[in-house]
Amino acid sequence: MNEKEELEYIWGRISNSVDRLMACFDGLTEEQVNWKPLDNASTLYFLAAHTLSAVNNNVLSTVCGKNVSRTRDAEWLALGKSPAPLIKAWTDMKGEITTAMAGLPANAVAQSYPHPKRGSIPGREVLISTVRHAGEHMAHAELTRDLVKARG
Amino acid sequence: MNEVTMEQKELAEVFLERIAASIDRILATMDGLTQDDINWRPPAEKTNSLYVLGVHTIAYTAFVISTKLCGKSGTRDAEAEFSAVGESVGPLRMSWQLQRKQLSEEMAKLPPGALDKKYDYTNRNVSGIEVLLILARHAHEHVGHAELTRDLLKASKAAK
Repeated sequence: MNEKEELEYIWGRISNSVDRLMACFDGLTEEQVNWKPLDNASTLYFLAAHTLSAVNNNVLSTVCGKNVSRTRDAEWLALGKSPAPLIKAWTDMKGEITTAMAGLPANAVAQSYPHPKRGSIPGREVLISTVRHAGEHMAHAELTRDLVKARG
Repeated sequence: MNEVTMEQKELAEVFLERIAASIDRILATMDGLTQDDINWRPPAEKTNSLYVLGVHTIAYTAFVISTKLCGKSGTRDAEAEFSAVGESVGPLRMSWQLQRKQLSEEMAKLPPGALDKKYDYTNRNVSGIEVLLILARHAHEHVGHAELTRDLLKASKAAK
């Protein structure tokens, strides 16, 4: 696998995780989407908002170099309680990242990028961290969805 | 931007370190818990205990690396993984430490091109790098399950 293919494959893993996370909203009421299994746990809405922030900041901004405003979880949370804006934001972001990735150099995974929290870091490191982060929150979301459904 | 080149051996170890860190986090969720605790399941269909999450993640990781990347023969009993019941995390952690060492040694001996080579993985042809990415996400997915399950368990015990 060359580095361009590796980049596309890593992005495929990230987008698959976020797709699965967003699919957790299917068939749920707004109350269910904003339900927490524990006081210190997260709602499905928050998990989606937080994961979108991470993908936006790490993939679109850091690796793709797009001059996007670095979103914070609070900005997504300010959108309200309905998942519709998050789903739309994800659809738009996915298209933007797919287009931006197509224009990246073949060695994009091997290059180092300035990261606001971690200093200079190889693209592969940024992207693998994002794969793991999105996968972790996808799991939180799927278990939270199963619990909210079991609750009735 | 500087380019960081990475040899296959180094790259394989980077992935294995990430996967191992995820498994360590899963096992850490069982620290200080009783036998009942580690076998407790959240109150929803098809949820798993902390012990099952640990057993399954270790078994799946070892099976895929060993049979795909390292080309060894082996079988896996998924039903046994998902019905596993344990007494404590200690023996599972010892088993993982042993397997982690073996996996590292086996991966260090991978022939040149092993991460570029295509492997049959669930009826798809995927490269060695893809196999490692799948395993990295898989392990961290179960970190998410395990840490939320541990928190649910603690809340359930506190409510009693």
